[in-house]
Amino acid sequence: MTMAERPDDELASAYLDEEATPDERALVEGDPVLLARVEELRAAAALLARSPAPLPASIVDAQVAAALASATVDAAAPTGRSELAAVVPLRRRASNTASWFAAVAAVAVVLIGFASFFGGTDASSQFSSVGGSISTAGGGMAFGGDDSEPEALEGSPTAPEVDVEPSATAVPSPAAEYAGAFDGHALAPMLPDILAVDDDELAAVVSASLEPSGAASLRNAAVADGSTSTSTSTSLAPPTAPPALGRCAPSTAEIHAIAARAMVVLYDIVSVIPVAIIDATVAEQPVQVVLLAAASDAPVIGLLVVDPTGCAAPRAVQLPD
Amino acid sequence: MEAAQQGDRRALDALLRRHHGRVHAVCRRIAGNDADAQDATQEALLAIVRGLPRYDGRAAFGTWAYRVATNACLDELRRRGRRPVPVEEIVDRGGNDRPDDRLADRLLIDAAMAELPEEYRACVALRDLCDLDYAQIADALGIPPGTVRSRIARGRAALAQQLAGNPGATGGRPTS
Repeated sequence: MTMAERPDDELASAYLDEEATPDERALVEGDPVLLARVEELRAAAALLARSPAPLPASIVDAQVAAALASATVDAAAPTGRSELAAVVPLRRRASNTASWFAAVAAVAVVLIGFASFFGGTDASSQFSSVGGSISTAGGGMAFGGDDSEPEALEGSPTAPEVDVEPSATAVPSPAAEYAGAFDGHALAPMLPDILAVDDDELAAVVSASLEPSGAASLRNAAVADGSTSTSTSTSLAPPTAPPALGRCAPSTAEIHAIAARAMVVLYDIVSVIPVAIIDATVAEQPVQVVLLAAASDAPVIGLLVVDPTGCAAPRAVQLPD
Repeated sequence: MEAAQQGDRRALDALLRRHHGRVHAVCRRIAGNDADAQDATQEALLAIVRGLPRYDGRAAFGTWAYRVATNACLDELRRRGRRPVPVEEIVDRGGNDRPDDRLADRLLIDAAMAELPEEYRACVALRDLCDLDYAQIADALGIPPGTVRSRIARGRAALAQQLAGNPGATGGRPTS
C-alpha cells in the first residue's frame, strides 16, 4: 500500500463504480468520512477518464494503414506474387559520405536492380550501364500509388532508361508536413556520380534484390544478415491467416504501411517517415523510391522501391549504420 | 464488423479509425509517455487486425478490442523494458499536445500513474477510459476481479493524492 492509499479506498472505489455489495454500500453510505473519500476518488476518476491528446491525423492515417497492410501481407495476390516487401540489407556503404548520399546511391542501385527485376537481366552487367537521371516528385514528397488492379508487369529485356523530367503527377502526400525536410530535387545533380559507382558488394545486393520476394519474410532476410536489431522485432506474419484482402497494386497507404513494417523489423522503429519519394522510370516501368527515416530531420535509414502500377513486390532496403 | 472480418478493406479501415482514439488513450495511459504510447498503439492496432478472425462476437467489439489493445500494449512495453518517463521529460515532450490539452492535468495523471506498475495502470485505463466493469477487466487481463478492484483503487488513490497536493491543477474537477 502506498502513502496515497487508505485502508478503505477499495471500498470507496468499488462504491463509486457500483461494484460494491449491498452490505458495502450500506457501510459507505453510513460513514461521512467514506462518502467524502468517494468524492475524492470520483474527482480522480473523472480526471483519469479524460482522454489524452489525440495523435495527429497523419500519424493515425499511417498507423491504420500499417494495420491494414498487416492483414494483406500474406494474402495471396492475384498473380501469386507476394505483396511482402523483400529486404535487401546493405552492410557497408560504397563511401563514407553523408547518410543521405548513401541513401541516394542505394536508390540508384536498387533502381538498377529493379530494372533488372523487371527485365530479367543480369544485375551486375547492368550495373555500370545505367545513365540519365531520376525525376523527383515536387518537394520530394509524393505518393503515387492507386487502388486500381492493373495487369501484372511483364518482363522487359530493355536496358533501363531513366526519365529526366520531374514528375508532373506528383501529389501532396499525407506526410506533406515534412516536405521541407528533404528536397528530392537536390538529388538530381548527384546522380551521375552515384550511377558511376562500382562496388562489388552493392552489385551483389542488386543481384539479391532480383530474387523473388516469395515467402522470404523481412525477418528472415534481416536475420540472415546477422542483424541483432531484429531479435526483438515483431514478426510480419500473422499467427493465423488474415482475411483475404488480396489485390495487385498497393495503395498509397499500403506503400507507406509496408515501408513502416519493414522498418519495424529492421530497426524496431514504428514511426518511420517517408522523407522523400522519387518518381522514376526504369526499363520503361515507373517506380517509386521512398526514402525512410525515423524523423523528418533524421538520416535516411531505409528505402522502399515500389512498383506503383504492377504487382511486383515492394522492396525494402536497409541502409547501413 | 462482419464485413471487416471478411476482408472488406473499407470496413476494416473504418473500424480501426473508430476505435483508434480510445486505443491510443489506453496505450497512452498505460505507457505514461507519448513516444511509447504511439508505438504501443501501432502494435495494438496490428494485434486487433491479426486477432479479428478470432473475434466471435460474444463481447462487444469495443470491449474485445480494448482487451486486445491493452495486452498488446503491455507486451510491447514489457518487450522494451520501458518504465514511465520522468515528468521532466514529459514536459519537454509537450509540443505534440493540442492547445486545449491541460498540461497540468496530464502531468498530474502521469505522475500518479508512474507510481503504479503498468498492469495497475491498465486496470485504471480500462475502467475509467473504456468504462469496462470489473468482470470485463478481469477477463481481459486474466486476473481475479478482486485484484482489479484493488488496482483501480490504488490508481485513483495515487491521483487523488496528486490532486490534494495541486488543488488548482484542474478546472474540470467535479465538486460533488
